[in-house]
Amino acid sequence: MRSRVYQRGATGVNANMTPMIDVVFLLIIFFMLVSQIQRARLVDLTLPEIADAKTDEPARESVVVINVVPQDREGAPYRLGTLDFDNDRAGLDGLVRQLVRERERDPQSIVIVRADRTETYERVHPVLQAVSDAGLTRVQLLTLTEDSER
Amino acid sequence: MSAKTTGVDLRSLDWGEPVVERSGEQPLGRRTSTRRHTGARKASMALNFTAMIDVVFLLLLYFMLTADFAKQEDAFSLDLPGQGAAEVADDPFALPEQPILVSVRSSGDGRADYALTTDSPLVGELNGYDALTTTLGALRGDLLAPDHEMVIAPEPGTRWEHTLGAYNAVTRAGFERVRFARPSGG
Repeated sequence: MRSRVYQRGATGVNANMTPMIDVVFLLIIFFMLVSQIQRARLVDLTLPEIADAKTDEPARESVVVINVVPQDREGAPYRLGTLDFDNDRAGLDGLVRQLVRERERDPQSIVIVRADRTETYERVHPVLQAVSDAGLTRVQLLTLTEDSER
Repeated sequence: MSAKTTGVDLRSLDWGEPVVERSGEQPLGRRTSTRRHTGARKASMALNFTAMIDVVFLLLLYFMLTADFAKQEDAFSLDLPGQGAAEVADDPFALPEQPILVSVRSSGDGRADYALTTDSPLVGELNGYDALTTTLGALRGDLLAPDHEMVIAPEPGTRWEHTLGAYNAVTRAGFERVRFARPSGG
């Protein structure tokens, strides 16, 4: 039995794979989560579902997402990332200023507008107006993909 | 060393040993190793559950995160005209052709509760998005140029889904210049 003690000492040099795999997976998950933080800025909305929609894929890069929060929810109606803007002159001016800042950072920025299907046009239009006022031209209006198309 | 080379029994015991020893149960190592001399065969067959559960949970987490549970979203891409874009009724003579105004009105909360009207005499009664698409599609390239300007003009209180439905109907008819009007009375 003593020989086994020596044996153990000799094989102990082997790399221990299990903790290494643990740590590697943890790192993978960490970086995936970090890269997905941008998606978490989306507000939970029921987007309009349009029949036979002629739509594209939403842009993934250099996008600015503006959420139009429904009236019956708490908070300001327009949400850009962590910033909130009211539907009055001051709020919309702030939105325009923020969009101008985005344009200066990247003139090719695409503004993604997410609005609930129950939203009235009067509440969505100020966003389009602000985008236009800020000098940005590329806009994407989000819809829900139809089930039948999947 | 000599023990390792003599018997099959001892060899199998030596294979089993490191697996159990590396499970991270170091504090118990001395005590269990003495016990294991008697039940060596059983120990060599034992799976290392702690590490396996670790990895399995990590894999589970990985696949749950990568799975896209969110509903798929699509986008209408459009180019907004600049700030100087004229109101529809501002100056009809500035434009070589009068844009066609497509009015949308929501008559209820449902997806199908909407009414479409146009200000063009070329387009008659409309009973839905499809009718608008086919009517405009027939006129396109014939009486209307593909770049004829179309304006979506939702009436006050029109729902966003109906607005987008009208936009989609006009876009599907093949018109390239579609824009949204300022809300009337808003």
